Amino acid sequence: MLQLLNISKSYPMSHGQNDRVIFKDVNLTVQPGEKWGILGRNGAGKSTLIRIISGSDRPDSGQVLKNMSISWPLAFGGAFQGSLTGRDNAKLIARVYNVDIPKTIALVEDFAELGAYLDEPVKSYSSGMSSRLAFAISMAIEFDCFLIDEGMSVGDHRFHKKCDDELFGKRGDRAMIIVAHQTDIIRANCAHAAVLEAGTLTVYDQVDDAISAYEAL
Amino acid sequence: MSASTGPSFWEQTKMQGRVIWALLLRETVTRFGREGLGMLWMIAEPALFVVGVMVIFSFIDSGYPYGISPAEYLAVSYPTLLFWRNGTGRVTKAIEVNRALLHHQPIRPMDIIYARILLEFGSAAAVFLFLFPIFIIIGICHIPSNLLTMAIGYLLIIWFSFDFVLIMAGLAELSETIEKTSHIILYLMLPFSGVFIPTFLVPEPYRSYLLYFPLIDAVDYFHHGYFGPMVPSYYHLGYTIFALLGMTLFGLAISGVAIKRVKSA
Repeated sequence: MLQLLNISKSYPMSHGQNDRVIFKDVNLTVQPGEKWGILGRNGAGKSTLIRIISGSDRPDSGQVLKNMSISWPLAFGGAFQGSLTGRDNAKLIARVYNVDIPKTIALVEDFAELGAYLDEPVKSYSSGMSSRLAFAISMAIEFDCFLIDEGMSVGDHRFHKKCDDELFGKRGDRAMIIVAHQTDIIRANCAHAAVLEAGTLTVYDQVDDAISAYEAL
Repeated sequence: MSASTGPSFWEQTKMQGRVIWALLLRETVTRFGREGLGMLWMIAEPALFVVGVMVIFSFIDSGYPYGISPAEYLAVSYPTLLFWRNGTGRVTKAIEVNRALLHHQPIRPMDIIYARILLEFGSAAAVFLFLFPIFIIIGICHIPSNLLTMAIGYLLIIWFSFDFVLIMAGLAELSETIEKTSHIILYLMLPFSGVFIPTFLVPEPYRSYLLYFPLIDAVDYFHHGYFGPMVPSYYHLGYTIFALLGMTLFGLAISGVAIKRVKSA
């Protein structure tokens, strides 16, 4: 189970003279296997929420309780070292999560389809290539809950379909938190939805209700 | 705030060890690459520095007593500052630069700092262990008078450097002024590092004042192990250990505060 209890977060603005409140008293409970969609406009604080769930940011107050292993934001290439090759980045992640290195490399070779580029520095990759690498490496580690940021839509049609099969097909039993401003991915995959707006997270009983509320904003 | 139930202390320690090792390997490849001399630069670069400084100072008549040549004095002094000086340069802003790594749950911010310290200290120690036997063979240095004392002194220097680097890492993360002036601090520390001015040349009462700085005591104990009883050395071992312990606690506390600040910014 993943539980957010009264999470509040603000960032300093105007050189610390003001605070910009991102959200206040956010509560959310994600049970194993549940698929959650979180909708919000640009700048509503979706990415901040993802960072707090992944643990890379600290909330100002409130608690994050985790009894599940949680992925880093999927297709998120920012966690890579640009001067390292795709192979070296895969090795780092495999070591950090204590999974078999040759198996991880084999999976990444097969899935990311980077060919000889796997031995080139990541900074020479196109954006499609780096998200393919990021996605492939994420698939090498088994998580109870996947965090999916809207960046997922990068990559061409074929790769997109492969990701869908891998994530929503083979890993359909895991929990997922999908954060997006597009509604179709959430309508297609989620059974629960919430809208983040003006610092408040509102949970709706029906996904369609959340989508209409979001579209009415 | 985040809380999790589960792994025991031992499992936690094993995991942290694994993460630090993974980051260390990554850092090594990032910095030295796989092409050309690669990893050899880890020793070659600081070694060239040490030898270069020794050559320059050999032309200056420093007038060290007890038949010590400037090259000999520097050979057993200069490599000690690689720890605290290069270490500090490596850790300032390390967490902010590597912030994206914190998306991975097993990686704690301190692991990033520890990995960098380990790599830098490993390189500094390797340089000394590589150069020192060569200096003995070519006659710049003699066989140490007491290897154990020298080794303990060396460990005290490493301990001081660890504390110092940790404190600087924390302060630099908390204050932009410290971050911007860290080069100045490091430079102005040189006269108080036991590297260029031997304690036996410092008149009283200034020598006693200097000994309040634990690095001076540590370097002098190290020198005592090398030079032996023929060269006077000044140190308070009990005080040094006590001061270093205090610095360790302060360093851990301040870097803890700094990490919280980085994660909530």
